[in-house]
Amino acid sequence: MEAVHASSVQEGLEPVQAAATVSACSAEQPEQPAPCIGTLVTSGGRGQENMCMLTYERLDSSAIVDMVVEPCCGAASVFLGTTRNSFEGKEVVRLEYEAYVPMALKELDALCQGVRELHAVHRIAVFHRLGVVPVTEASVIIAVASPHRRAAMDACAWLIDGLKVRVPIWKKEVYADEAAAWKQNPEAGVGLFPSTK
Amino acid sequence: MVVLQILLFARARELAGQPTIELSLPAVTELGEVLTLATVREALKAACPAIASLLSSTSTLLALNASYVESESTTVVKEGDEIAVIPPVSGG
Repeated sequence: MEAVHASSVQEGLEPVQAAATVSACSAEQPEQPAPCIGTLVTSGGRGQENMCMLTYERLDSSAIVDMVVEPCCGAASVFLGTTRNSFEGKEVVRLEYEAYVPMALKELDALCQGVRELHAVHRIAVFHRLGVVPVTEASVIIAVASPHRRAAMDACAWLIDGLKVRVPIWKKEVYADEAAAWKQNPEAGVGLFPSTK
Repeated sequence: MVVLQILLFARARELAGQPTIELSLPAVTELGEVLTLATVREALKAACPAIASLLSSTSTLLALNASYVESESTTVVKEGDEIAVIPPVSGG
C-alpha cells in the first residue's frame, strides 16, 4: 500500500469545502442527479444538524469531528470503519465501494432523524467513502455530539448498526491475487419493516 | 406498455454486465391485474437470466423510487417509476 497522493489528502481535509465543490459531482458518475457524490446533504434545525455525504475523497476524522462539536456539547463520539487487511486467511489489498447515491443519502438522513427520537444528541455527521479504499483507511466516519457522553455514544452505535442494515452501499473485497468478492453485511435488510416482524 | 429503466448495483450490475436494464411491460395483464413490483421481479428474471438466481433470493430487494417497499405484490408500478435491484447491502 503506497501512501495516499498528496492531492487527495489536501482535498480530503475540509469536508465543508468539498461540499461546495460542485465539480466533484461529475467526477466519476456523471449521470447521477443531485444530491450527488461530494455534496453535503443537511437537514435539521440549528444545533441539530444532520450532515451526510458520500465522497470519493479520503475521509478526515478530525475535520468531521470539528463539524459536530459546539460549546454546549461535552461529548463527541466517533465511529471509524476502516479497511481490514484479511478475510478468512486471504490478504485483502483494497475495498471498492459503490452506492445507489440518491437512496443512500436519503436513508442516511432518515437514520439521523430516527436516532433523535431515541437519544438527545446535537449535531450528527455521517460520511461514507466510495470507490477504492486502501487498507487502514476509513470507509465510514460517524460523529455525534451531545451535552453528555452517553447519548452520543449510544447514538453513534445505533447509527452504524442502522447503516449496515439498510443503506444501499456495497463493498467488494479485492484480494492479493486480484480475485474479488462482493460482501454482504450479516444484518443486511434485517428488520427493515419492524412493524411486520 | 410501461417502459421501466431498472437500476442494477454491485453483484447484480456485474452479473448482468450493465448498470441498467430496460423493461417494457403491460400496465395491466390479460387477467386484469395491474403491474406490481412482484411482476417486475419475475419479468426481470426472464429478461436477464444472469441475475435470475440473485432475484430468486428474498435477500435481494427491489426499491421503488429510492425507497424500500414492504410488499412487492401490493406495490403498483407505473410509467416513470425508478426501480433498483438492491443486493444485500455491505456498507460500513
